[in-house]
Amino acid sequence: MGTSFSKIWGRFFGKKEMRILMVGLDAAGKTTILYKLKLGEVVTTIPTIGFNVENVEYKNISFTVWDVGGQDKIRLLWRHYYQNTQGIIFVVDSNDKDRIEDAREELHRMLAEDELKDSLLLIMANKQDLPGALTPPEITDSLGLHTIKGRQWFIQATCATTGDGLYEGLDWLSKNVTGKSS
Amino acid sequence: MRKEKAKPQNKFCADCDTIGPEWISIKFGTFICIRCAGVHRELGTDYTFVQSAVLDRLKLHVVEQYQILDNEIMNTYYEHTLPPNLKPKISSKISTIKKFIKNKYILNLWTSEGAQNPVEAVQNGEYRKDMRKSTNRGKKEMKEVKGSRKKGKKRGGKRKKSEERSDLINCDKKEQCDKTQQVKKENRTHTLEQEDDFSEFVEPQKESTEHKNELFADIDINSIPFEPSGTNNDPFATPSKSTMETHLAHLYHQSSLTHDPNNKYAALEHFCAPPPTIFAGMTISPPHISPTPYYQSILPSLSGAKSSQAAPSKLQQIPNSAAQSLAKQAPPAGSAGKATDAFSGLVAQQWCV
Repeated sequence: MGTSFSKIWGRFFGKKEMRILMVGLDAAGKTTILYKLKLGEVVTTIPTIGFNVENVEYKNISFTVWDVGGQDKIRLLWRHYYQNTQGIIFVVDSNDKDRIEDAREELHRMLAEDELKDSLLLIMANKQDLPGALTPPEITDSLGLHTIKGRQWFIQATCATTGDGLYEGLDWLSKNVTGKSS
Repeated sequence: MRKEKAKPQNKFCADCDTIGPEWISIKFGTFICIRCAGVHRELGTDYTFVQSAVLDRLKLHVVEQYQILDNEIMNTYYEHTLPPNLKPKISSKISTIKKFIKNKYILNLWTSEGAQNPVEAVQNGEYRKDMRKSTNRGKKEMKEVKGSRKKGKKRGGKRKKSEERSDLINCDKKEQCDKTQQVKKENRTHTLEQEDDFSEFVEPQKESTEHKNELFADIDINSIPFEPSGTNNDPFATPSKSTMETHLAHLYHQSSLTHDPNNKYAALEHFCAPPPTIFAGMTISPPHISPTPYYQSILPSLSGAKSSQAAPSKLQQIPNSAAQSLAKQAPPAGSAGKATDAFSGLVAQQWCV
């Protein structure tokens, strides 16, 4: 009786946990996003060698966000973080048109991994405050998101320095992860 | 890219002088440290593109660019009119570095006018070898002091060949160089301060120069008669004993003018004339006899508990006043009884043996 009650209580009031992996090319703004979510302020970051991990509480969900360095040679290490990942945040520098092709390659290489077949995909089109930034539809095209099959994905325009769009992205993740579990 | 990273010109971060930079700011053609790399990234990809020389697979044209360019060339272009004391250091705050980088690369405050950006020149295939020479020449003019230091090193090498050479005199010569460098620096900052207000950058350096000035305020370096040798024909010959002695005497005289205990010649002071107290202590207390066990063994036969209370403080006085007590054989003034007087006499006699 007691256990069933606590289960029902937990369903309505308990905290859910969600493991998020945040990846993307170097200098896309992953660490800035992470600390904007965690601290609510913009910090001056240095290139991430290795990873940062923080717990972010939002709407009764505890997001454990893993932010992994995006340098060329350490992208090979991403796969060590795939296991049990429920959501992927793929951060793109909307202003870096020269490397959007690289981003596309990396994204599709990652989505082909078996360990990630059940995880949600959130694309953050970051640095939208810059004047020459690509719009979300343009990024959808250049990343080839329409070719993705059998996976829920969502693209969100963000600006890490102002915080615009970050929580909207988490909203989408939380809605879809709850929908799945129920 | 390892070769380019190992170049002596790329040994220090182009923006803050951190040793061993591993990151490159490609559109500015520089090697920078990881902290400055963070600041460069913040500028956005419109201005520059930051990659790691170690963790990134670099494109061929980037490697080719770095084969030609290095930090020295780029700083000659970007920091042409920059006074050396405005440059941030490893210890500088991140906010200072941010402002500096913005002024240096975005606002081009210190760029050499009329000169072509070396990175653009390389990209257009216009970079010629003679440009490198001219930039190097400019560099030499900018940093005369560095040149003089290098010369000093070369001369130092030659000196090694000669058998004997006083380090003190070399040291003094270097001091002279530093002094002239300081004067030049001060002149430069003075002229620049008149043009623009860079007070926030000036502050940290200002402190150190003031400190240096304080330290050697009393010494007139130019007055020290430095002659490298006895003959004019061979400047690196071994100096004669008499010239060495006069130099040392002069240096000692100079050192006595400063009252700073941290002065450079403090060691020399000890060397030339050790204070008399050191010798006094050495002759009186023989190192192989420890007074405490002897005192403890003799104490019960001398007196009771009363004297034993007063005795320890007496013991501490003995090494200092031993010379006096030896000469006079008189009991020291104080409230101690006869037993302790006898004791002090005994101890003094024992030590004489």
